[in-house]
Amino acid sequence: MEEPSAEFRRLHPLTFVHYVFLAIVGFVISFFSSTDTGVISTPFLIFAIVYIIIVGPFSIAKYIRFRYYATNDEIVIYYGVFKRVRRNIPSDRIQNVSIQRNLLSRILGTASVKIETAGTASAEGVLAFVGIQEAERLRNLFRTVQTTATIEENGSTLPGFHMPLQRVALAGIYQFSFALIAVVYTLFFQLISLDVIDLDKLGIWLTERFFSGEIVTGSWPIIAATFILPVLIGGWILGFLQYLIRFYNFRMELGPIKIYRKFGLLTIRESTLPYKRVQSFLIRSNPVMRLRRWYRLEIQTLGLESGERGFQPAMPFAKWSEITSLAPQIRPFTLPDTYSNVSRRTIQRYSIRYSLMIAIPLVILFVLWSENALWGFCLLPLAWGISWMQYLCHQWTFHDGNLLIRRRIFSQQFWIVPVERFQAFEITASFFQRRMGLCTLIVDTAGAGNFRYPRIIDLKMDDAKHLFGSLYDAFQKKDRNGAQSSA
Amino acid sequence: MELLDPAVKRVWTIKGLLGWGILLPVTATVDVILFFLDNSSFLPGLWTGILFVTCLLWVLIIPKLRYRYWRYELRDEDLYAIRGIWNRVQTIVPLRRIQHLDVEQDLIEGNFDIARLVVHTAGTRSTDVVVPGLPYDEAVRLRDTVRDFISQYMD
Repeated sequence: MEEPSAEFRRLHPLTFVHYVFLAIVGFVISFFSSTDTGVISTPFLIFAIVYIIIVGPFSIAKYIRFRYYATNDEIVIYYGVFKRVRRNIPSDRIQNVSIQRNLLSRILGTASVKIETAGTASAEGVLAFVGIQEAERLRNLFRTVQTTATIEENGSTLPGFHMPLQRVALAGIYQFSFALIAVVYTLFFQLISLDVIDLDKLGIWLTERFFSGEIVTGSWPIIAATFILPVLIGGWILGFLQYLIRFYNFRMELGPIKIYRKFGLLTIRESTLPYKRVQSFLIRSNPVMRLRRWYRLEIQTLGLESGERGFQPAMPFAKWSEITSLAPQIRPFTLPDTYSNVSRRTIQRYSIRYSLMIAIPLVILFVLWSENALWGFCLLPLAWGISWMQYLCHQWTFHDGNLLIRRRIFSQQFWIVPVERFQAFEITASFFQRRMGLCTLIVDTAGAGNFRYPRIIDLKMDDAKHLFGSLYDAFQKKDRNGAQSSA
Repeated sequence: MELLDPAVKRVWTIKGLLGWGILLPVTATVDVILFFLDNSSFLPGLWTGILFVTCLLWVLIIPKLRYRYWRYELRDEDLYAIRGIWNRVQTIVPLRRIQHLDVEQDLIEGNFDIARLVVHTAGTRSTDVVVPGLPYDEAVRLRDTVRDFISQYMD
């Protein structure tokens, strides 16, 4: 093996432009965060002082302290201003070298390189920012160890999934963004308080423009028209744009040992994912998407990007047939013809729970407000209806070495969990469940979220014990074989 | 299946006292001050009362119930545990899935010579299964048994 030069390198000098850009953003936000016009506001002053005394010098020190060298065998990073750290990452531990370029780094010709390992986030190495050639060099350096190819090199020959602009735009139509609405409205009210926008004039303008001035103030259609409709439409448009920017030109390809993905409009994300790290599949949908048979395939991994909580989009918007033809190439699975339902008593249990969730606030409202609150009890049949729908939507089966679970009415989930990926087996039964002879079966996998994890709720106790036994038997059989073959 | 060391009940009682009991004099003082400052408040001592009852529960009843429902067993290839008063939880942790093991003991547990066995897996929900209230030697013995199993499996 040739020995590349083991000299230390620094980050790209243009890294400072990134720092300066962040500083400008900080100054602008702090400048506008006060409503006093004409005077230098306190937040701005605090930010300026903190920046000039602490953050600025610290950034320079950080840059100076940051050095690294990379050979075929390892990458060594020295960093830290107060606490000095030397981090060695042996190349056989490197799971993935991902390159991220946001708009600024694309203008500057820099890239952020993330060296991911199987360990926790703190064991990873992030080089932000290096030149694009250097980023390519690093990736190729560790690729020689892992013997792989990129999308650009021989993309078309590999099986994969590509979303052309039409598909991304179509998918965007199904999106809705709540977060961006909050931002826009904060900005809106900020402008009002800065007297840039006059709410009264805006109201008059709106009524004249759209209702020819004939609207009685306080009538609810106008409130809906001027407030709720723009929120809905705005959220929809923003959701669309957000989706477009995120998944623009989405490309996933299945290499011999890794999955490659590259996507994004402003920030281009490029990463590889070894098949070994795939823990389970999660196929998501919602009733609107289901109407046109659209689904989203996510792969649960050991948790590469903390922002994704271990779920990586593999096919963000695809037909069922596309998913069932491509996903088994990532990890083989077959789909059964029939599924089992959970116990019907789940309807009873959830009806009671939802009824209480409706009734208790109503009683409080009745006591504190008026007897009009009692009309709310008309909602009670809804509790039963939702519970019943929930029962219909919750199905499971253990088929061909995979546990398949379908759940939820609105944000539908379909789990495919290979039995050998189980980390722990759990049966829980709350007080009420025990009274009804029910329980919940949970399988723990690596990288599942705290809220999103595979479970079967309200199985009959006997069914659960039976399933528990067969899952565990299958697990042990696979695991012992695995141990023998690796030995 | 094995029961925990009965001493764990006293450990839990002491911990309950430390947790809730310390708050009790504080709220009682506040209640007394409030009573003299402004005796119009309805039901004086309500919060202290609620806290007192909670405290009694945590100190007298919960430890006994927790103890009664805790069972564990180290079997050939897995660790099996049943626990929970309200939510009854049965967990199987296959020994092959264990990432690392700790025997933990704090000051109070040290006084009673008991320890906790903490089992870490790569999973996210039951990342660490904790078996509390083991006699210290027993915890160490369990840890060594599991360790031997894992190293054998690794070879």
